[in-house]
Amino acid sequence: MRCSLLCLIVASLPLAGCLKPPPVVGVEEPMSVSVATVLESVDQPWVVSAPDAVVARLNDELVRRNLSPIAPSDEVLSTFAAIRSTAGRLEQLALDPPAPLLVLIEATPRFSAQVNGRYRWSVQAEISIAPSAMTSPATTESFTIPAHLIYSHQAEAEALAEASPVVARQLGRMLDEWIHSEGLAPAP
Amino acid sequence: MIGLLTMLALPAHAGSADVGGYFRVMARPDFQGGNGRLGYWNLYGRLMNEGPYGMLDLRYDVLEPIAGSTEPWTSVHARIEGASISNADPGNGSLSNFRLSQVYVKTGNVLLRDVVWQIGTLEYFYGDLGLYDMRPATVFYDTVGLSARYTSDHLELLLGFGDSGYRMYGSSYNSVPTPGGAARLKLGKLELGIGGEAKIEAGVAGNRNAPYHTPGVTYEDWIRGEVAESYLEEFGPELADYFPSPSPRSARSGKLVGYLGFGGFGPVRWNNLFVSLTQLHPEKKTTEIMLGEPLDIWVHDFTDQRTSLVIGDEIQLVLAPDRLDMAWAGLFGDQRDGDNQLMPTDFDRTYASTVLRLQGYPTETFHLLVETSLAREWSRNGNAFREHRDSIFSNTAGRADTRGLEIGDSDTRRTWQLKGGVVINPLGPGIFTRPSLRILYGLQASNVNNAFGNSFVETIDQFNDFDNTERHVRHMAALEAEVWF
Repeated sequence: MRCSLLCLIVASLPLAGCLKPPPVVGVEEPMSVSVATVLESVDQPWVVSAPDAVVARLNDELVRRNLSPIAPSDEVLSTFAAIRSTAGRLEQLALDPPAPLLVLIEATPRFSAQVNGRYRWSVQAEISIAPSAMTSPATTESFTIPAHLIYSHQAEAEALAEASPVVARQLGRMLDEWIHSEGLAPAP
Repeated sequence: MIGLLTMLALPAHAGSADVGGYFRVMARPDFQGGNGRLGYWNLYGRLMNEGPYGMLDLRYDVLEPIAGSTEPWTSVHARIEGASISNADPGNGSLSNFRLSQVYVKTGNVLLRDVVWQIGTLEYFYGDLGLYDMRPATVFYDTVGLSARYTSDHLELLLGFGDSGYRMYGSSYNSVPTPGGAARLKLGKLELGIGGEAKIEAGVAGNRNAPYHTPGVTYEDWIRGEVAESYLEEFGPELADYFPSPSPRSARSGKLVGYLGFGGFGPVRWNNLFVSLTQLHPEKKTTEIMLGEPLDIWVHDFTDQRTSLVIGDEIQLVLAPDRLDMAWAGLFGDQRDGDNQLMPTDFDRTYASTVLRLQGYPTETFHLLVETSLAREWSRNGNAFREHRDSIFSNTAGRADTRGLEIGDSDTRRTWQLKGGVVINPLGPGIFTRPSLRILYGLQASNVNNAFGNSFVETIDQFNDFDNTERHVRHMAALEAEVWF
């Protein structure tokens, strides 16, 4: 009897992992969004696009909300190393593909210390959402996410990859708030 | 530290603060009279063989680095850590179990480009054997001082100098100057490293904390704790005041470490190979009682030929992306004590083990884990382990050693462990992804009787009120959580 109960509990545990996430409320009409996800270094002058896996993960948050992400051109990205302000980068982003909405995600991982076998990084992330017409000020939020990498050869890209679940969640929350504040959600 | 935390909480400061840390807490109800750990130590894998741990790592940017800039920056770092959490271990989370283990200040873009200067504690490691929670290739573990670290795309070079005396001796401090360094060559999917440190403790006549050796003492008398007895037998109590005075020595020790890392091809995520060869630092003294008074026996020459070789390797493989990962590690240690040919000790042994962990991912957050390990420990100087409850009576060839230099009836301990269970990883797949919430069951089999930390009475004296037991198979369940933040 006791064994059967234990087996039942163990067998039912995987089912608990099948919880479906709550439905996401997106915009009623599909909307194009110019999305730039950039990775920059504290120690080096380079600014590059985030790794593909990270971009895909973040873009998924937009797709779930009926938003169509459009990547900026290389020309626009190449200006970001010289333009360090978020406002300036948004202006550059607005010049590129015609999309009514701009989303700029800037991530700056920074190595902090070797800690008990791990390499502690902190990822400074800033997400900005703005209409491309600049009819209203950008909504910007900054936050820091810890990343404890296990290998010395791992660096900024891996730190951002480890932090990407948290960045994606924050992006989703900001998009939800923006959709609600703009009244773009379908009527209940 | 409270002041530092208060400072970090104040919004008026311009610099940014960053607080991270690590916690490991578990409940392992032990129905076999043990201490809640499956085996004696991490040689059988860290899983279920480690206790609780807490650590806070703080960084405060006095001058925050500016991305893309060569402006100077500086940060102060501090770490508090200890192995006790309330309700989870005998220490019950008491702060007396914690220590301020690291404090240092780093600054960059000063004098030399790409060089970070650091003053304070200097610990540096090449990487971690995650399945063992061991870092054989570590330098400056004991040292406080100054280091300079140069970093480029393909090279990392660390040079340091400091003092290890307080870490090694505490209130019996004697200066132990420690120069050393480490180099790491980074070639994409291949990394090579070599490093080392030297500890030099000069003899200072008159300093009672300096290294000495007491002449005229035999090793066997010392290791038996019979120096005073032998002296009195030979010279009589009337000459007790003429016990030889110690003569000063200079003590030296050192460590060489090597590292090879490669990966990023096929299923191999990464492989770390570490080697360390250590000449251990000689001990200072032991104390016996002679005619009711403490007698210091200085033992530099008895403890200056101890070496330790450790080789460890760990490979992480992606067997089926997002479905099944594997980590496999091996550890070999060879410790030798050139002075001791008599008594089994931890300074004269070899050990080897292998640990294999598989983690499967039925869903993004719900995982299954199984780990097994096989270990062998061998004592070079004879029996060191008890295979049976009554082995206190037996020894080599079944003869009792009433003089007591051997312990038990075997020179070998063989241990096998099997652990498995379910894991919840809210951040997704990955053997080393944290936080991890685990429900585990563990099994151990050993040739040694009661091969785990316990409070059993080992005597088989007829007046022993507590019967002792014969047990070679051990098992237990564990509820545990581990988080980096």
